[in-house]
Amino acid sequence: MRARVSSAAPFAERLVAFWSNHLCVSVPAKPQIAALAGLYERQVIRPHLFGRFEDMVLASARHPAMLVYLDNAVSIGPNSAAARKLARRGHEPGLNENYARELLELHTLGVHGGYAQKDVEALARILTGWMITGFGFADRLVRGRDRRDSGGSDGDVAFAYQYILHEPGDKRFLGVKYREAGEEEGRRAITDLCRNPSTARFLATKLARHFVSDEPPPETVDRIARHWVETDGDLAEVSRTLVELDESWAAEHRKFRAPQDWLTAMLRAVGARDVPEPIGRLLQQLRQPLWSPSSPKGYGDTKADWADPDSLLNRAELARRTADRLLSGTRTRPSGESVRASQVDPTRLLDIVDVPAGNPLETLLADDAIAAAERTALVFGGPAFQWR
Amino acid sequence: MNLTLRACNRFGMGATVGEPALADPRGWLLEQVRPDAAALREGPLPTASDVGEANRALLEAQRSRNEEATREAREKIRG
Repeated sequence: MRARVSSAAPFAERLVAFWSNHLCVSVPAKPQIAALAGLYERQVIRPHLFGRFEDMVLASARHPAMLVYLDNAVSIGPNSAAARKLARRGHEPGLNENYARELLELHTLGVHGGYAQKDVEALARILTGWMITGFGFADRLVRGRDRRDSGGSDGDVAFAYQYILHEPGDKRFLGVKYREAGEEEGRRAITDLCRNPSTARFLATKLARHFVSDEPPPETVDRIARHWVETDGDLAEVSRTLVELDESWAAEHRKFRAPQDWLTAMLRAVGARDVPEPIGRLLQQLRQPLWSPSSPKGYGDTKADWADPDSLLNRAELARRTADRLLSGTRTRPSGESVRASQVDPTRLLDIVDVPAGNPLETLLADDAIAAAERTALVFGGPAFQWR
Repeated sequence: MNLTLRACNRFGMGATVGEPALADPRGWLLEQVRPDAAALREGPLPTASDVGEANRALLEAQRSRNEEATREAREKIRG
């Protein structure tokens, strides 16, 4: 959140938040993820922000946070050496399809992207052996290393490919035969998925929904998808396309601010350089704590997800408290000069919201009889500020 | 229509009072499309064993139902 509030490249930060939510992990889902979620964003999302989509997805697939979150770390090939060993001890280990399913449905092709249950299963088999060390899952199972293993070392939390867990044999996935190739099978499958036209379409839709409107025009989606296919999912190219679209700038389209966006916008409005102490609690109250969506689908990205009456009342109340707090701190001018935040003249807040001239807000904001914090809260809690 | 506002609010994370209007809003956004734009400057990455250690501390605090220690462990983890 600190980066979002203080960044000099806020478009890049918005994209970090977008991709972080697209390939989300969730802190409350499993205890180990709390320690890994921040690292996940720094290692998976930020370095690949303007790289190829497939590299971001591959990094995500191999990150301990994702391996734990969607259970690939407990998936064992039914005919693998490890499974036979466990069976002799009376255990019934099995394939876990969670990650494979979400990789298809949520990360790449999309639910209507043209795959079947047998593909989910095949992908899960392909990805067996993609594991971690350091949390004691496989450490208990695997003694010694196979020459086909890679990565990981004792005691560290890291990606490790462990052949003993890998389902042997050729697999048939999306009509294509994947020859037995251990760790390499998964790389191939993910690369192919990321270059699938359904993936381009699915991501173009999500991006258009984020930058244009909840119901983006089909031509907008087409244009982004076409560019995605032409550049093999080069995220720098795709990001530039978003800026170049006339629709992103058209006044008739607008987006309702999700809670994290709304809070960030308040802080940036008055030039705050840091997040206030109880930011975690505020986000909790607004139902959008950091890295904690209730499902692998991530947080919703439409007005309908956030604009219920309760939430709006909640925002009005929080606007008042936040304005109080902000106005008692200091802020830094672009020149570097530090000034007390209370010097942010409430009438100037009209410069940062899109309200038509003659709006009653103008009169209210100019009324010195009302405390500056109250006038500021009027803007933050008011209708115009809920949109971006 | 105010293109600076659009660039800051739609694409960015929110406009700031007192910032001058952007001469070239599109150019300002396009300039942010560079590999290091979202690199975090603060501190080195925690190592895998830091993560393991922080995680153990959190689990321990949760197990002992020590709310303050749990909160501290969480804060530490999230930086």
